[in-house]
Amino acid sequence: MPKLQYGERLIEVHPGESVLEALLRSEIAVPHSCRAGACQSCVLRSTSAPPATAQLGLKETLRLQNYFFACLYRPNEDLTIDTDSTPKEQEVQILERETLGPRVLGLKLKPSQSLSYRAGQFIQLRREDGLTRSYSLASLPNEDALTLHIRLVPNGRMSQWLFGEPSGPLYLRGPSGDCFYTEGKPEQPLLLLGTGTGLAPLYGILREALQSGHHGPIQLFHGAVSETDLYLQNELQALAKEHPNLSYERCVLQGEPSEGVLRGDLRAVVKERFKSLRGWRAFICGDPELVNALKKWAFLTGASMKEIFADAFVMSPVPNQVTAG
Amino acid sequence: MSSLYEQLGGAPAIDAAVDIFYRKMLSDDRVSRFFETTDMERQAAKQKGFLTMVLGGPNNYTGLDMRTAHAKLLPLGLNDSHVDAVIENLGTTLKELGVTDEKIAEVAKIANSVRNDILGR
Repeated sequence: MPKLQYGERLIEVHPGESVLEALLRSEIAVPHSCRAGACQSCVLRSTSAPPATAQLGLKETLRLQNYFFACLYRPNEDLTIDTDSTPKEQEVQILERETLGPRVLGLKLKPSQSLSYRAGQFIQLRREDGLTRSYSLASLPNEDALTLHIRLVPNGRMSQWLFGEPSGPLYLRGPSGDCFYTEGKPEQPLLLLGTGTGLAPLYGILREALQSGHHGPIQLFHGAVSETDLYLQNELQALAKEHPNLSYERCVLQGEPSEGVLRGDLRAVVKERFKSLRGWRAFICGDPELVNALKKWAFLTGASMKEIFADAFVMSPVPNQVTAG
Repeated sequence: MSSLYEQLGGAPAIDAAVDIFYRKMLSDDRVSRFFETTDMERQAAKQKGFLTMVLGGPNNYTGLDMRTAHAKLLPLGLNDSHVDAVIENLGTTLKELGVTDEKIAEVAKIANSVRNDILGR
């Protein structure tokens, strides 16, 4: 009988029993509802690749990370459920800090152990005193260093420190996230929408796509508050010149934009440009309000739910400030 | 005799049906407020569960599941008109997928059978 490892528990799975049935029988409370592979309440993660039949209907990026439906998986072999949702932590060194813009820092990190990740995923950075923030990876897995794009947040504890005099040990946990490029549809049109440092994961994703030979259209739109918040413009223009299938558009909310830069809200810009996103894959990253609105817009404009990948950069609350008067 | 779920193409086809159905709900002013959420994927999964059930697909939902799932919407004013609107959208979705009026009526009947559970009656 196959053995199921769930944390400390080792469970014998009865013939024909599903993982869900085995766990419930062992009085392990796993969320569940439909028991039929539809509601996604019982999604768990294995340490090895589950059979495709146990993953039917799951988003591709989740399938690749070994997630599966506990109600559908009737194992014939031993398996281990990944119950440790916190990935291992490791120390990292700051290799370089590059000024990408007046309020954006490119932080190059050297991990103590090589990190296995997919372009577009994110990590958590922890300072010695425990202050922790999540940042998306802008680098490619085959690069030596990890690159993060840090936005200087007013009263932002981590960003102010990283922009200033960061010293002392720094720790990293990850990777996490399911907003990354997957191969298999090299001709599929890709829409990349980012606001502010939402460009970071998209920069990784588009280069990953190009590197793997993606030849379908890749359309990147970078939205920012003002033109000074745009960055990596030269690099992206050079990439667009080198790869005819890549197009790069910038738009800003405030100020008189230079030639080639659009003025307006990213939501209005894309709404005007795209009448149908049927068949497209969309990657949407950055400000939560915009990300949620753009997700909904992309879906209503015809992109399948399974083809929409979003990463909303939720901000940590600012510490209380003493008010004057 | 195979179910409508199987006739439509089973699990892979249902994803396409969910996209159509969920879009209709988000665009329908009568019910869109009940479907507003930042977790669209989770919402879509619920629609998938519902569609799977009414199309005769594999499911083990109970009336109690429908009851508890919708209980928090009752204070927001959920009533018969909304259930009617959803069943209407279900019909137009199935029509777009080429299902006959006769079969659509059968599906509506199944959807109606959980009306009281949905409305906490």
